[in-house]
Formats: sequence, structure tokens, C-alpha cells
Amino acid sequence: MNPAMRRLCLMAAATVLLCGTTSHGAGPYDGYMNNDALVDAISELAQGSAVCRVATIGETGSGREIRALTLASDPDAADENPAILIVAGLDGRHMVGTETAIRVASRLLSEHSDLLDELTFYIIPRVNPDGTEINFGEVNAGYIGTLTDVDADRDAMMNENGPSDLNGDGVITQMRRPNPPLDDRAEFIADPVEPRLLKKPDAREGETAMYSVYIEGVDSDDDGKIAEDGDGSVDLDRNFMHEWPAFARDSGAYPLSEPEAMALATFVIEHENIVAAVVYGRHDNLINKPDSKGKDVSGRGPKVIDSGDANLYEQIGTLYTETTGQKRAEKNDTAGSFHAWLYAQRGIPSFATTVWGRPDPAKKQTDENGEDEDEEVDGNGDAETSETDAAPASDVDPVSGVWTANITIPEMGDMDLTLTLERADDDSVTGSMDMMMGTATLTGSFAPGSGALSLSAEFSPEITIPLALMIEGDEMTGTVTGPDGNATDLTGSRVSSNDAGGSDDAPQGEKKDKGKIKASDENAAAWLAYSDTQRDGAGFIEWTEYEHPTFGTIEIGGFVPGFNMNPPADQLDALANPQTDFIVKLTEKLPKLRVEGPTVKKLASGLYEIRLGVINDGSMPTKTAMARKARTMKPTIIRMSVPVEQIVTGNRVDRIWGLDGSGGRSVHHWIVRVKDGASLSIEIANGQFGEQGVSFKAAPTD
Amino acid sequence: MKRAMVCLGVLAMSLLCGPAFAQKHVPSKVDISWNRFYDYKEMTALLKQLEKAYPDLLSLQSLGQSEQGREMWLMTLNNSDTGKDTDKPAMYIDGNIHGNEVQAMEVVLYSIWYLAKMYGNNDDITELIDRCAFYFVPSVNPDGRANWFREPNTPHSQRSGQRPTDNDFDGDLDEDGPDDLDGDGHITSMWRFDPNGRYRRSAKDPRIIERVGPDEKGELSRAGSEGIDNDGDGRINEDGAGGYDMNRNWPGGWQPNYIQFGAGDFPFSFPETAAIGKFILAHPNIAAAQSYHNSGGMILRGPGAKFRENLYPRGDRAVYDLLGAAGEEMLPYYDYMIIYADLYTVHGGTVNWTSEQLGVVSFTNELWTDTWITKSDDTRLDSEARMRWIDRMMFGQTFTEYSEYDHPTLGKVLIGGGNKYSSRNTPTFMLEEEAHRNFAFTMFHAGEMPAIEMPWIEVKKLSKNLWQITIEIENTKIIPTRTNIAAQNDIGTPDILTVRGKGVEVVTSGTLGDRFDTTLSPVEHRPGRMLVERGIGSRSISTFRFIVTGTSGADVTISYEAEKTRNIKQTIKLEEKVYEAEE
Repeated sequence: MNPAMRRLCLMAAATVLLCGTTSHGAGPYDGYMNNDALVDAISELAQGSAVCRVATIGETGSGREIRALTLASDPDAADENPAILIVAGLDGRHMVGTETAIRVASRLLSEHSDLLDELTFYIIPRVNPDGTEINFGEVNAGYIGTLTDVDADRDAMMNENGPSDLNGDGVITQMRRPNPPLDDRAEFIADPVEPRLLKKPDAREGETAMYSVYIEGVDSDDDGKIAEDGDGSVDLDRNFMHEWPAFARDSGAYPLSEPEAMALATFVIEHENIVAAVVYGRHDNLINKPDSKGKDVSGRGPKVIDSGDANLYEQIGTLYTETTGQKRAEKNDTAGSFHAWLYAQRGIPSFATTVWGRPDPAKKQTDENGEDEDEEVDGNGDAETSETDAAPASDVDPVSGVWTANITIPEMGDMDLTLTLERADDDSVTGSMDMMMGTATLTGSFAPGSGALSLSAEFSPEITIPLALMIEGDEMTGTVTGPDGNATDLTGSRVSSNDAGGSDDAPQGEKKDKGKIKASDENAAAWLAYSDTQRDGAGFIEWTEYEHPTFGTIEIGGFVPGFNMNPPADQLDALANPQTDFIVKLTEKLPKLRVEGPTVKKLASGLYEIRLGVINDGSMPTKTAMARKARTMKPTIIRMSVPVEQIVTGNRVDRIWGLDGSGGRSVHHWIVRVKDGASLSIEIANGQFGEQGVSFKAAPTD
Repeated sequence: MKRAMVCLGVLAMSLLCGPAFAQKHVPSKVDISWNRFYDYKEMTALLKQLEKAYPDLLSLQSLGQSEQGREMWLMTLNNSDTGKDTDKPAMYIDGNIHGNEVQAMEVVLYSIWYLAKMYGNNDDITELIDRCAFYFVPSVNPDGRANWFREPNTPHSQRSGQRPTDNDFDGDLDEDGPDDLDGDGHITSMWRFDPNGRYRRSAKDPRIIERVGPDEKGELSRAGSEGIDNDGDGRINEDGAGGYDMNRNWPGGWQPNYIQFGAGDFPFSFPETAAIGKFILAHPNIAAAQSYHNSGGMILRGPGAKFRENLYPRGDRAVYDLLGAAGEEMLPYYDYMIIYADLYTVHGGTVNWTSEQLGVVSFTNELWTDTWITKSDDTRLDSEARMRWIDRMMFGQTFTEYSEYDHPTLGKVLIGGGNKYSSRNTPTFMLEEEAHRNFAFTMFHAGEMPAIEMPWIEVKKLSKNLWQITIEIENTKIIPTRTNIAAQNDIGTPDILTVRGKGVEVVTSGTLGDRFDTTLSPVEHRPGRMLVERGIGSRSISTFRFIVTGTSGADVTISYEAEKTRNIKQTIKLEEKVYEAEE
């Protein structure tokens, strides 16, 4: 099925089932390059440039070209210099990688062309244009893979029941069905801390499941499953050989079953000069330290990285975080991924980054312009201050945010509450309170000087409870006077704040973490907070009731696919600059081979001792520990011109499988029988650093 | 065999006389001698002749070209009068993926030849062909085969395909292979004259080089196989043709070269495996597979690696065991073995892929074991006995007498020993028997590919316009319609049982323990199109029940579809009745 037809299917489903189309704000890919724009951008880079060349390395399932840029002072000899490979766009949703790759290419060309004399860059900005194209279509369904058809529910019908955009908001999200009937089963509840998130109930807490949850769609093939067999697809980052998920539905019929994956693998195998790779995608091994202890299924290969390469990854990881300031990256399973294969089977140091991680929460609500800056800077210090200072002196709004509280009611025991508060400029406070009996609306005011907060909780027009509270830092104490006039104590603590410096990410000391109730999926809650406070809610479709054709009244909502991978397009330039800096700094770490000698010593007339050293002056090893084990990167070959029968000691052909960084060396030693003054030579051939030879005479050196 | 006639007259004359197994001569339209081997060109010619002679059964196609451009021949055997090959259970049979394991090709060729000539002349084979299809790839490694016949070789060389490979990591490809120094057309062994050597020529038979005792003095030491240091690096024969193993290149538990030597850069990285892989993936009707190798006299099943042991559920192991036991009987000097446990670890082998990733019941037969020359399965041959058998049975043909040779770097050496026919290959006078026994076992295997029928259908009236249909589906064969490995790992498509008719609506459906079971395990959705994930098991009956509405006398069509066997279909009427298949 071609992509246009896929779009049509989704659209058809949408028009049939839907009540009206309301477009939801800015999509996650607004301002990003679609395939046509990418082709233009690539042509623009190459146009008139003597050092940038474009080639097609293969075609996608639908016949789109996969393009590679080669940056080299002499493009004809590009393959003879050591090369850095930059790859992006394996996952159809990861648009930021492609944008970054193009920007990195552009800046390397404009500002760092001096590097290109001795180095080559191969940049493949979008491996999966087919998947990307679908995400630029009418409906954002978070398409990951290729166009290869997969009978996901294995019922001998292909793609017969994909997701449909029922509410017509242009996004495929989730459906939650409250109190489903007996032929369905509730498995989730709304997270009490962040009720927009779903979690599995905890029986120990007396929680009972309330929702069954589905992908947005219908059961068009009447098999009792919703949206279980949509278009495609095979995930390219699960289609490579290392730890390939053999029986998964999205990993392909066999490794490299996808033409895109095959093109990429072939490119790598054919370019022995690649010495390092940077992969922009959904994986990260720079911020999240890769596991260097685990073994693969055979017990003979590494699960992730070989222990001998832990230092290398730590070194480059530090370089990355220092250069880019990126603090966090989502963790995703790397089985079958491109970068995992590149390392674990080819031995190439491959550094994976998401490019963009979830930003810190914004620091100050009132600072309209500060938003972009705030999320790039390290906000940990500011957060610390809010702990000790009195609330009014702090940058942090002492009131706004989510609080969990506990009240002790005589003869009833404890009861948990969640208060969501919002303070306006005039210190009036509004909000809501969730408790077992239901949700109450809160109104009141805050006195910044004293930290006193008085609130009225209205459960219904008849029942209103006054709350007298004191706020100190992130703690709340107070009294609640019920309708019967009895006062009970209330204690609370802040869970997240609209503007506090990092409620869960910044290290805030033990004191703060203690007793704090967190959302069951803290990461999701933090994304949600980021969406709320800095993105105008663009990342999450609020749960809204919808009349489902077979389920009756349900709610549709959830995260917007691609939101947590891609920043707003106006941040792309700022994001790409440090990425270029990282690449440049990485080039400074690359191995540098130096040949020392040969030194020649005359042992007797016609008998000479020769020593030759090969030294790595760079800080990275010439080959990873993995490469030395896997032997897929060719060794450095040292070839002595003296015929084997005249060699008294030493090998005519020697191989160096790898040199450690920072002065790692290999010394080669021969004693040969040659005529005094004879012309000799040693050839040093290396797949990554080219060939060189030394010619010398059989005569003593100093 | 069961049709073999017992001669009553002879039996009457002598009580000692057992049953005789003989058969009437059935001539073939293509005369092929089975007491010889055929190189790639001869193989191609014979395949073409067979196709021409039996056009109704055989069709030859090339799946692509080998590394060196040879056609990858695939012979399909199918009687199109009984349906398309893809609608029938099919067996995939190949041989000679290791170029030196030559007689594997003759066994495959024999199978094609025998089936084709017997069709219409023998009830068993005619029935088998009418029910099943066969895909034969006689030589998976035509380049290795061509080299083995054309060039001087050892019994073990040219296992690899012929893609030039840098075995010794010196930047050069295939630059230092063995050399036929004594000009006998074979690569044999070199022995160095060495006063400190631990070997000597035997006093009883100078063709035997024996180890000396601890207090004896020797005269020879090993110098490897015949060759010189072609590239002047000080080593001999370190980088010959190829240097990989295509039987480690399949995507079933594939591991990289440093874990599994010979694996290649990725699964299907060689044109030969890629071409065959593409064909097999496009034929989910393949229910059984056999890959012939040599040697050792083994009937091997997976897994190839311990970590895949749990992939073989008990039900599948029982299937393999039944077939394997038959094999051990039919191939008296063969052992039924598990690759990783009884032989060695193999990642990415052909049968690992077909059985573990595709759910196909697969074996690898290792042809020939040289003790069988004695026709006694407990004889271990010592060196003298071996020479005796070579002399008496082979008239010395597999041995090159030792001769002295002036080696450029080793000095004076002895060259000689067993030639490339001296082990691994079946002696040609025994080839037909080896081919036939293996063929017969593989046909037994093929004959046990699933066959389903509906032996019993019962229609009962529950009330006006409400009917109960109970259906038995029987698999009469050992191999289930879906192996357990397939069902457990979501391999392929489940079987599909459909009940439909005009004006007939399926209200609910489900499975029963047997026809007397009163409690239905219902399917919740799409009751008229049931997905039968586990298929119909080994020699077993599954019972299904449908409750339908419809007017009396309405036609109802029941169909059962399965990837690995023929679909079946029967139309019945809504009226109280029991439909029983005629015996």
C-alpha cells in the first residue's frame, strides 16, 4: 500500500466515524522538514559546494531515495580518509534527528571545512523517509517503521483494522472506557497524583481498576480487538542483527529484511574507513551509561557494550553532556537497533543520542521570555534555594502546583487528598481537591508575608468546608473545619509545581524526597507538566468524552505521538549548535596513528636489527575492545619487504588489532639478513587511516 | 515394501526363507547411473533432461546466480492436475551447501529421478505426489561443487562458497591456497623428514604413517596439507578459496563471525542463501525440510545452540522422535541426534532457521560413515584394516602412494595419503543404496506432512431455526498442521475454521474436548471465522461446535484452511443428520 492510500484509509475512517474536525493546536512536527523539504535542503548544501556530495545509498520500500551526504575536501578520495558517520531518521517520529543532521552538515561546511582535509563525514539524515512521510499526513499516528505490511494480529487479513482518528483532532491517542461491562475488563485507574495519567491499581492501597484502555479506534473486523492491525510496519531500529528480537511483530521476518536497513548496513560494511558513528534517534548511550557487564544470548558477546569499552563510552559521554548540556534522554530497548549492531558486531564506536531530552521545568511563570533559556540551563541550584528560604523570597511560587495531603478524621482514620492549586497575580487562589468522595472546587487567597492560605472547598452548593493552611517551603499544614464544626489536622507536601525548579529530576536532597507522593510514572508526569507549563498543553490531548460506536461513552485523550521526541521547531537551531560542537570535539578525540622509526642497528655485517613503532596519539583507541574481539574492522597490517627466508626473527606480515588511546603502541621487531646498505621498506596499511610506507637503508640509525 | 510379494512357493520349500524385497523394474525416461558422481555441469544437464522427460511433474527454475554466476537450480515436483504446488503441503529438500559434501547432490537428484519415474507406476508414490509438492535444490553451493571436482582438493576443502575472503587478515584475498605438488590431482598430506619426529612409516604397510612409542625414535613430522608459501609470508596454505560457511548464514539464531565462524556479515549475505531464503519465505506451505550433508551417518535435528533448547516444546519433540526412530530403522547405521547436544553448537544453520524460525519440521542427514564399508555397525577400523578395505574393495583407488618431493621452504618432504575421495563420500558402488535409503526416509517424512479431513459432522436441531453443528477435524499424520513452536511464537498464520451459509448466522462457536464433551470453550468474537492457533495436532482429532440460526434445509459450508496442508471444505444442510466420511 502506498503512503497516500494509507492516509486515505485513515481519513476515510475519520470522516465516517467522526462528529466534526477540530484541529488541535500545534502538532509536534510543525515547522519540521518533510521529505520534499529535506531533498531541497540537501540539494542546497551540495549545490556549488566542492566538498559536499550527495549520493543515493538505496531505496525505501516505496521507492524513495535514501540520501547520504559526503563531506570531504577531495570527495573523490573521501573513502581514503578516516570517517565519522552520522545517521538520523530511522524512527519515523524522530524528526529532530534529521533536522540536527542537516544543521550539523551545514555548520561543518560553513565553519569547520578545515577538518575535511583529513577527515570525511558521511551524513545520512533520514533513513526512513516512508515512515516520516506518514507522520506528515493528515493524522499523526506516531508511525515508527517502514511500509512493509505486517499481519499484526495474524488473522490472514492485512492491515484491516488500524487506528482511526475518531474525534477528528488529527492525532491518534488513547481511549479509556470507564467501568466497562462484563465482556471487557478494567485494568487501569487514573493516577491519583496526576489523574490524566493511567496506572495499574495497587491492591495494597485498596485501589480498584476502573478503565479499560485502547488505542483510538474501532473494531472494524469484529474480532473483539481495537485497532490491532494497522498499516505496516517494521521498526528499522529493531531490524538489525545484534540481539534481534526473533519473534516480534515489528522486527521484520529476518534481520535486514527491510531495504532501508539493508542499504544502511551495506553502506557501513563497504566503508571500512568509518572510525566512529553518531546516531540521532530514540536511543541514547551518552547520558544513560551503557551496560558493560551483561552478556548476549550466546553468552559470548556483550548485551550492550564490552567491559573493555566502558571507559571510552564514559569519556565520550562526559564530553557530550559537557558540550551539549543535555541532561536526560529517554531509555529505550536497544535490541535490534542500528547503533547496537554497529558497535557489537562491527566494533565501531557508535554514540547514540536523542539530541533533545525533556527540559527542566520553567522557573518563573511571570518571566514570559525566559522560557526557552530556562529549559536549557541547569536549574538545580535554584531549586535548592526554595528549600531553606521563606516562600516569598524564593523564585518559586509557594502555592501553585500539585499537593498531596492527608487529613485525620476522628473515627474514620486517614484520608488522602490531592490539591491542585493555582495562584493568580493578585494572590487569589483557585484549584481543585480530589478525595475519595469526589472532587471539590477550591477558592481562596494567599498571604505572601505570613505564608497563610485560606481556602473554601465546595463539594456541592450545600457542603462547603473551610481550610486554614500554612505553607512553608514544600510543606503544608493546617486545619480543616467540616460541616459539623469539628476541626481536623491536615498535612501536605508538594508533588509538582507549575514552576518550581525540578520537582523530581533535580537532586534536592533526601529531605524533599521523603514522604513525597509521586505519580506512578514520574517521567510521564514530568512530560505532562512540561506540556502544561511550557508548551501550552500541546503534548497531551485532554481526556474528552466521546460517543464510541460500540463502547458507548468513553474518553479520548493522551500524549501526542512524537511530542516527547521533538522540541518546538524554533529551538532546532539552538539545539543543533552544541551538537556540531560535540562532533568537532569528537574529531579531536579520534585516534591518530604515528609511525616511529624504523630504527636500524647493525649486529654484524649483513645482519641488521630493525624496530618500528606504531603509536596512537589520539585519545580514543584505534579499535574498540569489541572490534578487537569481533575482528570485523580490519587490522593494521605491517609488511616487511625482506623475503621471509632472510628474516631471522620477526614476521614478514604483522597485524595490529588495536591500539589503546593516549600513547597506546605496538612495536615490531625484526632481525634480517640483508646486504649492507640495501634498500628496505615497510608498508603500513590500515583500513581506517590509509596506507603509508617507510623506505630506509640497511645502515645504523642514531 | 508392504506391497512386496511373499513367495509362497519358496516358503513352502524352506522354513528358513524370510520375506523377499524385490520389485519389478520401472524404467526411467532419463537413464542415470547411480554409481558415480556428477559435477555441476553434468548435474545441470541431468536436471534439464529430467524436466524435459517429465514435463507434467517437473519444472526447473533458477533462483538466481551463485557468487561465481552459476544458476541456482530449483526443481519443483508437482502434479498440477491435483492442484497448485502452493496449495499443497510441500517438502523442501536440498543438499551440498558444503561444496565438498558432494554426494548430497546425488541423493537429491536420485529423489527427483525416482519419484518422477514411479509416478503412475506405484500406488504409494503416486498418492504421495498427488497430495504433496516437492522443492529440490540439488546443490546449494554450486561454486564449491565445481571447484571440488575441477581442482585438486582434499575431502574437506571447498566447504565454503567461492567469494574471495581474506582468511589471514593480510589484505589479500585467497592468495595462498594448497598446491598439488605431486601432480596426482588431489591435495594430500606432507610429512617432513625429521630425526626428532614422532612418526614413522609402518613396517607392516609403508602407506601407514604411525606414531612412535614413547621410547622409540621417529623419522617424520607433520607438515600440513600439500602446498607452498605462495605469498611469502612464512605460512603455508593459510588463505585458500572462500573462507566461510553458508550453513551458518541463515537467520535462525544467527550469530556474528567471532561467535560463529563462517557466519558472514549478516544472514543471507551470500547470493546462494539469499536466493533460497527468498524462495522459502515465499512458500509458507513448506511443512517439512531436509538438508543433506556428509558425513557421519546422522539424522540431526535442532536446536543448534543450548540457549534455543526451550524453543522445542514437548509436542514437537515427540514428532521429531517418531520420525527419527523411523529413520534409525530405515538407515541402520545412522543415529538420530540433537545438533547442539550430540554434535556441536551451530548458530544460523539451515534447519535451525526452518525449524526454529519458520516452524517447519526439519532434519539434516549426514550421509555416509566409512565403517559402513564393512556392513557391520560395530566395526571400528584401525589403520591396517582401513588399508585392507581400500585395497580389496576400492582396489586402492582412494590412496596416493607417498613420494618424495623437494619443497621450496621445507626441504625434502613426503607427499601422499588419502585423496579427496578417501573419506566423507560414499563409495560409488554403494551410492545407490545410500541414496535410496535416505530418499525413502525423507519420503516417509514427507508422507507425514499434515493431512486433514472432516470424518464426522453432526447437525442437531436445538429449536426452530436454531442448530448445533459439531465438527471433527482429523489430522491423520504425525506432523501437526501447526507445530507447537509456531503456535507458541506467533510464527505464520493460525489455521482458520469458517462456517457460513446464505441466511445462516453463527451465534457462537468454540472447541470441545471431544464429541461427547458438553461444555464448549467459546470464542468471544467472530464465531463464524475461528482462528485455530494450535492447529490440528499430531495424529489427532479436534472437535469444534457452532451454534447457528437458519432455516431448515439451508446449505452451510464448513471450511478449514491451514498454511501447511490442503484446505478442506464440505457443504452440509441444516437438518438433523450425522455426516460420516467413507472409510
